[in-house]
Amino acid sequence: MALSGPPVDRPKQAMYAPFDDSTRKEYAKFWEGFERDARQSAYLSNQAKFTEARQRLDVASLLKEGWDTYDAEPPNPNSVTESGKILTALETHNLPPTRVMASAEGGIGISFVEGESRAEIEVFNTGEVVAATYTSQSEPVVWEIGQGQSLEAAIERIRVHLAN
Amino acid sequence: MYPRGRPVVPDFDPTERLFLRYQLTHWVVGQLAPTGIRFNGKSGVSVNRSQFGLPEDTLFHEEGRYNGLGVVQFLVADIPLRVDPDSDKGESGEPYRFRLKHVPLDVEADPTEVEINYAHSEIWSHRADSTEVDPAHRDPGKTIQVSFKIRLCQRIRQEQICIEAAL
Repeated sequence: MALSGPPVDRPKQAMYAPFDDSTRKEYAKFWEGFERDARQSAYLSNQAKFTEARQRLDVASLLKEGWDTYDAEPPNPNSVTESGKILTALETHNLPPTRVMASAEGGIGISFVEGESRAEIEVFNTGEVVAATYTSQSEPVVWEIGQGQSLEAAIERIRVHLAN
Repeated sequence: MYPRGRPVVPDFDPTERLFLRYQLTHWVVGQLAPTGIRFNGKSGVSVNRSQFGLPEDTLFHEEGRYNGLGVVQFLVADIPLRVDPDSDKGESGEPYRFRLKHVPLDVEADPTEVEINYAHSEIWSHRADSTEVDPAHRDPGKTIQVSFKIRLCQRIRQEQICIEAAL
């Protein structure tokens, strides 16, 4: 890579000057490529996160009774199937979870972390699905999905919370 | 660890520490995930009290059942005393109260018990409108459970790890 700097005999002279047309075109081409690569990189990074999430769901589905040492039930087929559907919906909305794990309560937990903002979706073996948003300081807001709140609305609510 | 005829000690100082086992998978970006805590149906959330044991005692098992797990601590005062749903925010469910109960595990006193643990205690819950003096534990509804667990997990961060989980 070529390096440049101020002339050695005039170190305090500003090195910036208006670009001519050809330089401007070169820079425009560079930024286009940079933005394309960044978009592609974000897409690939999200794809990798969803692959990991599905792998973790598969592992959780193989757990046995008492897996947490406090006599927890393993996730049942219903909670695993429902969690798979939620992951598909999250993928459609391009919102990858930070972690997918078995819940000690019996079911599957899906966690999201963005800076100080956190969110959870807990899919219980009993069929109930609960979502929550919170930060390290604020009181959580918790609601049941399916009780007047659709999964789509919950995902949007989580996305807005994580973006703040 | 061993009860050796010691009595139940019902009082908990707000500054007493409580120990809870955790798995590596439930440690998410510097904080315990609420899915790592379990209401136990009949007996609430299990913890060990520091007045009668050390963090490592929480991992004691004669057959090494808890090897590789970690231990976190929190204060008695960190336990939310009551959780109310906020209907303005679309929350639902019955309000519940929470309290600690010292429940030593003793195979000699109870032949159905499989563990010996004098420090064992439980976080019990009951409906907030209960008028009973010593109400039995009853699991709250799922939204209140999750709300309670999140409030507790907000207090369980990196500094509260006593023994780091390897599994």
